[in-house]
Amino acid sequence: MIIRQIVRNELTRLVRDLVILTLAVLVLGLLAVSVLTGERYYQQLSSAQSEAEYLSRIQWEQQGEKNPHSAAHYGTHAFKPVSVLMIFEPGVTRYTGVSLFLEGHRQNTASFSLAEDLDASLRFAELTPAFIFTYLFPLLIIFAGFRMVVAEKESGMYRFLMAQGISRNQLIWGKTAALWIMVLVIFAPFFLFGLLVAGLPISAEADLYRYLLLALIWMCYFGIMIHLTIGISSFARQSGTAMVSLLAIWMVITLLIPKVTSNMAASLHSVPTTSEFYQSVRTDLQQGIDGHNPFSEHSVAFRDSVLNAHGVTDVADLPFNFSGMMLQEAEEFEKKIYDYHLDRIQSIHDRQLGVFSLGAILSPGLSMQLTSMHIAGTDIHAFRHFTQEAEEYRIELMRVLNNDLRDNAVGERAIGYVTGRDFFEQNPVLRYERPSKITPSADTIPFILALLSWFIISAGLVGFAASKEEVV
Amino acid sequence: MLETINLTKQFNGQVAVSGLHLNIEAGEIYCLLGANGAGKTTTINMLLNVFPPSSGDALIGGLSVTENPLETKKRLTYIPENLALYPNLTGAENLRFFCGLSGLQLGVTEIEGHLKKAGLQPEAMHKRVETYSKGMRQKVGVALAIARSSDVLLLDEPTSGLDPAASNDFARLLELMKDRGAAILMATHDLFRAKETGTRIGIMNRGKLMDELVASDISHSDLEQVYLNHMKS
Amino acid sequence: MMSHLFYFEWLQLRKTWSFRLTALIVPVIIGYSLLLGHQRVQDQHAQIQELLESEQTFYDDLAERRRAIELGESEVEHWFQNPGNPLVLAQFGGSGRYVFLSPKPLAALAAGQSDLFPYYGKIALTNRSAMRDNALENPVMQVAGPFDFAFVLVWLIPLFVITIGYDVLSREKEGGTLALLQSQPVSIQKILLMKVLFRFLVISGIVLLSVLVFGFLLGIPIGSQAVIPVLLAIIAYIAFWFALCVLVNWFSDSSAINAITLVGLWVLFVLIIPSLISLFASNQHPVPSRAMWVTDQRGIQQAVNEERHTFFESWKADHPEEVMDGDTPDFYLIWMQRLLTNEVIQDRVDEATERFNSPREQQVGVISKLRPLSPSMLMHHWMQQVAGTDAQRLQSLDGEMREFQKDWKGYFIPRFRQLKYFSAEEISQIPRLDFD
Repeated sequence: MIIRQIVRNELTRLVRDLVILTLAVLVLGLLAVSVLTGERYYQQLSSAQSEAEYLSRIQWEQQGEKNPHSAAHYGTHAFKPVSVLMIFEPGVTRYTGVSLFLEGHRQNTASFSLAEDLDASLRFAELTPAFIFTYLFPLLIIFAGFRMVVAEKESGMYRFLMAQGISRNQLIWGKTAALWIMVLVIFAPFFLFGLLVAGLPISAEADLYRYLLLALIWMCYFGIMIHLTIGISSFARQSGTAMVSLLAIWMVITLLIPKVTSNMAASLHSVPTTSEFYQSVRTDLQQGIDGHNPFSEHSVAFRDSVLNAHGVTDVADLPFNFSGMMLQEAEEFEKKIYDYHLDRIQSIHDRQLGVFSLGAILSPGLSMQLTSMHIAGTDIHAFRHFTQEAEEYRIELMRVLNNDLRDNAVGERAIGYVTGRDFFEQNPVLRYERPSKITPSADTIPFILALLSWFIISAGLVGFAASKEEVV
Repeated sequence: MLETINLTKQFNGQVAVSGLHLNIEAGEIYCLLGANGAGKTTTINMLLNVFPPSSGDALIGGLSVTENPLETKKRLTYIPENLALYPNLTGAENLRFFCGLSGLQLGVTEIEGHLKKAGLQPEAMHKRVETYSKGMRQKVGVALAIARSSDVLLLDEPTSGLDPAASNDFARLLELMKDRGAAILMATHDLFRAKETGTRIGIMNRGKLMDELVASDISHSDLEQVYLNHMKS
Repeated sequence: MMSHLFYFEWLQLRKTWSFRLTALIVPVIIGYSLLLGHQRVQDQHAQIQELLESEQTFYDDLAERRRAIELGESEVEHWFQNPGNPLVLAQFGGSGRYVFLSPKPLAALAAGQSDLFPYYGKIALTNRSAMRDNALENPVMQVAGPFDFAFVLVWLIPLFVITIGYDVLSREKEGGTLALLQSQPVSIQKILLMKVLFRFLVISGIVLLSVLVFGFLLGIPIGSQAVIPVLLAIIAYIAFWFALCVLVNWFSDSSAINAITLVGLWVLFVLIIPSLISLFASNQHPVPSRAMWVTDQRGIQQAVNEERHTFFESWKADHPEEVMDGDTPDFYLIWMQRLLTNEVIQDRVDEATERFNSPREQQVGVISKLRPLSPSMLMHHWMQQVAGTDAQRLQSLDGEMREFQKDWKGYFIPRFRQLKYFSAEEISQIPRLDFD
């Protein structure tokens, strides 16, 4: 009962605090703008993506009469679809390429990131709910709560309340509850608005779950900030000190640690430059079968083994087109080399993420960001999932092309063999589906654990502050 | 030494001080008695030129406070009700700072000497002010007056919140200052202290000076009766 | 009087933990940011050096092979293996020239957009590709962005200024010392001005000294004239935030309210105004999706390739003297045609690209008009320009490469048309065609 009185009293004071009220309204306004513009941006991107995909397929099918291997060189593009949750948490979406060129002999990296076309003068100041929740919301919590306990001590109200028979426990937990209620009251309208604007109730079920999980993650982060605010306010002797300490904490966990971590990760585990990468790929490729050079050592050995197996001495006597077979053999070899080198890059990225989990332990802001990116399907894993599917599709397409050459460019048709629209129309189509299940990857688990630990420890801080005896 | 001539202050038409005539000679402790809101602090603020009077003027050593605010401030020391010093500096450092503001550059021994005269324990002088009691802070204020050999002392409720011993200590310091030839104006609502320490007593109500008494001519109970009568009218 | 006030302000300031923390952290983060910036620039210099050397070795090697052929020591089986062929020299197997946007002397100060846009590229006769050295970078890094001096200055230093300055007057009021100060024979305005001035000088001193000391240690050319405007700008930026502190203190007596207001202003200038400006600019002039650009480009290639014979025949009719008659090798006509087609494709792609570039340029226009709304944005942009890492400079790489490619073509194509092979001597004398 007493606690209810404390909460009510605290909430009345918050509502009458013009500064807090103004800030809360401003934050809600910014959230509304960010959701609306985010949704518009998402619509633009996804319609452009599906249109480009459609046109690209038409271009493939209507590329004219040509040799299947010329078609392999001509190649086609895959375009990465965007997750609807990018409205709320764009993650790495802006920094990964939107298009991936799929061609014979090589695995390309995706090109044209959205960031290149945006004059984002101050980089991470992009108005999205994630940005507002990461940076602005904690400030609102700090502003609303930094005085809650310490000001009672300063004004002498604390002694008065204690004399009324209110325990310190009730006082501090009551104020914590009041701050929680304030956060929920501001968050609830955003939550419903976002849900409706993004059309989540009628979209795929997985997206709805993702949204709910996102909300939970944010709540967890807000909870940490609430607990820290009340904790510091209970320990501080002056409200000025409480304020400055909380601002320092805010600066360290939202600005400093994320930046320093990522720069540390980059310098501890540096990624080779693109030219170094292709140099080492080229070196390895020269050791293998060159589909275009029938005279290379490996090509000759392969040809001889095929000739032997069929008991003939000239490739022209083989019952199929030898170059088709050799190209496929080369393709598979090249893929192995590329896979090997790209895996190397991926493992560097994984080690970098390992450094991030260290930063995530120090900063709940960072662990929240990394977790919510993953939940929203806008992190590097979501991007990898796409590139892997695209690569599987590429190798499948190359096989179809090479097999066509091998099986049909025989006998009289061997020289100047071309195929056409009928064949290209039958080629496989890339139908990329975003994963419908949320499976936390191994390197996301530390982020989630860090976030939960922060939540529990910060709640413990409040508990400790509440149980501490203090003479004022 | 300290003179007010028809000193008047109105805030938005509300009269705070009206037609105040005071004349305090050197070697005199003048106690201004009155309830909260009688206009005592407003009077002091005008003497400090925090705001100008609506009409009338005040003279310190013959100089107008409105025309020569900085000159007149050189000759006075002000000790507010709750003398606040910089909490993270020591008493000695605070004294040195405020002396410096009036152009007095003092060495450590001089500073310690003045603090000692003001009655501050030697072991406290180099401790941070945040550890001081109110009485100790006021001693630093008096030391400032001693160091600057001020002609005029303005005191606003200096003894409120002091325990009897500290209050007594402070009264002695005022005697000391009086003997050194300072003109002292002390605003207070402590009848006992006014009678004991003051040489003259002025009773103020609603911005007006109601009565002036010589302290030695009147008993405690008479003073109380006179005071209460003026409050009722 | 000034030195007296400064001395006692110093006595007080040095005992506050907010100042101690500032004095400790600011030099550390400035040093770290300059170190990272310096490493970035060193890496770029090393990369440029390495590429120039590899280019040199490549052509030395070609000259060597050509000499062996001239001396009859070796023979070639295929035309594309003959290094004397202008086409081979200008187009084949790693031929071509690198074009660089060399880092400016103060590049270490701001990483700017250099993690998004490449600073060098390679051109040959038909291709012009910017080398994205960072294509393999973990995109998570780019979200956080580089930790550079510009970030420290524009984002973090104001927060330290606020910690030092938020209570410069309100503390005197709250502590009650203002009353005593008012009774002193020095005007209160002067005392307060000196206090603010001292704090301003101290924090500017810490920042400038850190920049100069770390800059000197790292060998960033801080002695050069270009540094003076940077230092002045740093002082002006810090002064701006101090002025805000004074202004806020003037209007409000509560340190807590001052802190909220000042952090609020920080959020406004550093976070909200820039993000709203970006949002506004991209809504006013949306850049079409690059996905569409990719398909457009393909469409053009396909269309031109289908008509390549017609193009070539009409060009030949117009420029009969440019084409060799009689018995030419197989590759000659094929490549004559291909080079011409490439020209046509590039022209048309440029037209299509314009559709993407013009909204982007309009965006840039809108942003630069609105930028003065936030001094932080102005400062950040200016730092990038000084460092030469702003998007506009980095995007000029394509233009540089285009110019350079023109020279490259002008040098080789006439010789190819006449099939005048290069001697070993001539190969080693291919001009560097300097670009800077």
